[in-house]
Amino acid sequence: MTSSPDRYERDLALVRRFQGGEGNAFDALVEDHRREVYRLAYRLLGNHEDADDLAQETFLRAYRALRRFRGDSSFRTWLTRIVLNLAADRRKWVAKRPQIPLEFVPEEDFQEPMPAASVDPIRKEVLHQAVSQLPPRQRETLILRVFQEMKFQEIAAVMGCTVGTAKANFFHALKGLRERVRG
Amino acid sequence: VADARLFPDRPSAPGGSMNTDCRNVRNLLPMALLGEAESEATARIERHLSECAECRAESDRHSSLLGTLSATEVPDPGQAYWSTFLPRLRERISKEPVMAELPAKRREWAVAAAVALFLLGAAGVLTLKPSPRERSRMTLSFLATRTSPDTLRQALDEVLPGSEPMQPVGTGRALEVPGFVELQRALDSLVPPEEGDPASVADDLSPQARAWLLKALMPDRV
Repeated sequence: MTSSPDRYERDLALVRRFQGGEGNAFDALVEDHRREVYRLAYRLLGNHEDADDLAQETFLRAYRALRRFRGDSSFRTWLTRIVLNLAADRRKWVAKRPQIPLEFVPEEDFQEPMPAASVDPIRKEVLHQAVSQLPPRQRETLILRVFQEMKFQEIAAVMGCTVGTAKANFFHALKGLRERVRG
Repeated sequence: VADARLFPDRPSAPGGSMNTDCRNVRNLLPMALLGEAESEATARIERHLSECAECRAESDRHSSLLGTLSATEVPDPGQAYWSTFLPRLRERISKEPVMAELPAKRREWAVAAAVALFLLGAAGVLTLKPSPRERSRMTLSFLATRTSPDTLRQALDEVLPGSEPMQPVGTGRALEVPGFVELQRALDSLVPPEEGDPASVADDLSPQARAWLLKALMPDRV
């Protein structure tokens, strides 16, 4: 999924069709966005089970609210906001479970092999730990920018802050990572 | 970013000691590495890096960090998973209340009816004179059992969208209904301080009604 103008127009057209009574337009939206939603959920929660549950819940919430979607933001931005808010809610529930982002599910849990990792596994572990220890807003900004490849303007829209704040969050996230990894 | 202010035209300190240029460059390095710094700033950063070994090393470290981060991938759960994703979602959607499928006009009437019922019930309960705990129990019971939780949830979504995660708090329509905070305060006031927790008076409700109430009325507690 990309955030190109074509993508934006296609999403909006599907939303309008759904609002006009075409139920299968929602299916198309799900098909288009499910992988990115799942990946974001996985980055935020750190395991397949929670990511799956969050992805399903995200689309269920989207389904409930889609008739009221006015298109003030892009569908992708709106959907991402739902993911982040649900993930934040979930973290309150599972606060006792320390693992958070970038964890890797054991290979045997999946039918397809894991992508080959091109980074040093020891350093990768340290990095995972460091990311999980970042303050939530910094961590979310980092994930949206690095993995979801969102522009700061879109991140600001998702997180309800200014572009400057989004950039500052990213800057501090990177600085925090550097300090933690250095240690 | 004011490039001219951030990059005064003066050479970096020889020998790599940190100066203002170094600090400015390091502040902009993350944006530059993402390709989001302005072109003039990028040129100045590159010029500075060619002269300053310490900042060049810092840039390499940032670059390496971002590269390592980018290289970590979420494992794909596989085709079997994706083939069940939409059917599972459809099944959950099929259990949603019919409300979501109603045409907008009818839905507005249904919402209005639910809100009116809610306000009527709340007003009626509030005018009674049993004990505070009894009143709060009656209020919660009314909300949970006299009105369909799903219908009332839809109503709250409409008039109090701050309770929905996908909408910022405070963007609700200007309807003459109690705000979320007021609603919480009213419920809190019904519970004597020594009994404290409004959640406790929902203990007698069905699990479904209780879960709904806690989520709708006290999202911060969930």
